Amino acid sequence: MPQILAIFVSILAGLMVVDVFLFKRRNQNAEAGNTVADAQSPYIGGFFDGVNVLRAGAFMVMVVLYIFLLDTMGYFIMTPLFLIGTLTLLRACRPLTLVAISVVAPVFVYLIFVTFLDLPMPMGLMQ
Amino acid sequence: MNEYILIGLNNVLSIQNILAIFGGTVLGLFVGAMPGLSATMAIALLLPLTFSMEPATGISMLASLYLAAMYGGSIAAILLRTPGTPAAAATIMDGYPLAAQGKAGKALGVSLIASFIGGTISAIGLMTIAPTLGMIVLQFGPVEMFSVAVLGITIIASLSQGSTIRGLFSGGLGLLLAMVGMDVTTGTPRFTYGMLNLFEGVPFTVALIGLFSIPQVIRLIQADEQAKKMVSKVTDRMLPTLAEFKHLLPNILRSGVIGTLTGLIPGAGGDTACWFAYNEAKRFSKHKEKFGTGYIDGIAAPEAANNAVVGGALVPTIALGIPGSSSTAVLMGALMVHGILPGPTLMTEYADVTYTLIWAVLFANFALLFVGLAFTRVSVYVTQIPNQVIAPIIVVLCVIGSFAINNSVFDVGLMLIFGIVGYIFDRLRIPTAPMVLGLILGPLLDGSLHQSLLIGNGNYLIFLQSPISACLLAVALISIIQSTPAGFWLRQLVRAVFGRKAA
Repeated sequence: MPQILAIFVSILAGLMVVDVFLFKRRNQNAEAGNTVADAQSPYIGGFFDGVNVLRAGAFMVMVVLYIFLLDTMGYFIMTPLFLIGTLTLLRACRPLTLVAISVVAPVFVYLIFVTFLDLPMPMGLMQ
Repeated sequence: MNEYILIGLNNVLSIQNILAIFGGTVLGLFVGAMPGLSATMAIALLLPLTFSMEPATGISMLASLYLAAMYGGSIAAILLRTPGTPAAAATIMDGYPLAAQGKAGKALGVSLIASFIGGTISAIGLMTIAPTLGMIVLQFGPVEMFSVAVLGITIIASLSQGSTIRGLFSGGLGLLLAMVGMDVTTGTPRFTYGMLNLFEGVPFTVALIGLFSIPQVIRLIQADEQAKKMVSKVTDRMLPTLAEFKHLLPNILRSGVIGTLTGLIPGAGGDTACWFAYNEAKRFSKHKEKFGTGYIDGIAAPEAANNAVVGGALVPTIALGIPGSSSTAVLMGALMVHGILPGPTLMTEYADVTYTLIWAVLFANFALLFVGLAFTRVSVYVTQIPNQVIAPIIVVLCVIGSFAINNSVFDVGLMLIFGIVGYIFDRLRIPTAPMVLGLILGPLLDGSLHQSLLIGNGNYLIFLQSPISACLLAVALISIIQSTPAGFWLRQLVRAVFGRKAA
């Protein structure tokens, strides 16, 4: 079963490359003929079009750090730090609101998930 | 069969189930109202809330959340001109113009009534179709189940947006990922690379949380700040007059049926159904020119249809174990977390849970009507929370959800990896829904293939010897061929042979 699937997926991956190639060529033809290219079609524009790469990248680095340090530091230490970091990065709100959200959110989570629902959480240093 | 209907009714009327339905409805309304948060994501994120509940209660809560999010999506569509969920995209066409005329309340009221009736129609559909289909499926052996799984994958791949090749690729990859872990029949670990965490396989729910939430988070923050969201105020009364109601009823009923039927098809969800119903309403209407100018028919049709999808999509989920939409895929994940394996056993072994769920879908519509009347005005404020605040909070919730399933930090990392893959797929316009389906159907496909081959002494022809299985496989083949160049040639051939009308 895995072999069949692996072959199947590889063939499709190959077909996708062919598909894109054909599409690009057709698109070039279309541009030459001055017709409007279909906006719904794949591969109009580049991979990062309309993306603030720096901001999205920095955000993702923070997410990765957050999850990486989760086990050793614990959820309730990392979450406020993560929220302060990302909200500052995104310039989401005023400093006071920012701190309030970062403190209230984990407390809220603690009350609901640990006290009320009794779910396990990665406690880390707080254990 | 009938006794279970009564047991389900009895279960659903317990205090905690009614509370769960109302709780789910309120949550769904607010989450749906936030632009950019889909119903699927809401269910995936709030899944951990249900872990410590009874299975029936938890599932009922998530189903009502799904239903309410479908209505909630229209709030943002009407007031902000951005659909709160993709399924509310068609509601903008007439909802926003009507709100711009100062009749936001009426737009929301029509949407609520249409959602209520559409949802009720589909709940009745669910109650009648699912048990019948379930009875048929009970006769299926491993050979037929294999073909059902193959059909499920091909249909969702060819119906999902974008090219069929991409859909099939995504589905195939999902199946391949489902092969990770212990082989069910032989017990050998596959593709685990010695990692103990992978012996149980890729946890499906963890993958879902990542695939449906993280790409959305990045999408929320990737663009530069937009202008402040403009919100229309709700000043007029919500409920439509009796005359308006009478005028809308046939349209709502038709759209409800359209929505239910669209939901039945795996791969076609609310985002397809709403446009389908909108166009049909326009075609049947005597006042085609009024559509797009704030005509109430143009609000009622898509809203009735997208709520009707809920019941329709639950039919294949319950009877076959093949989710009818990505939201029901997450609901299936929820069932699995509670140790209930989706598929034909839902109608026999777990019939009490199933019938409670079916009743809950019906009652959730009434809950939605009350909650909608009471909370719609409040939910306007929710639509004003900036994306930059929502995004980090979603990440925080994703972490809870993915950790709580197996108490493992490894799963949280896995969730993130799936999230990043999901985002890359999104940018490359490869649909993720087939991959999710592959992950669900993988074990079923693998297990039934092994069993069928044992029955047939290793001969693959066994799949063609059973008439049901042969038919299902033929439909699967047709659904692939119709979207390839060969399908185009075939259609031309048919046209040439039978004249123009046939094709």
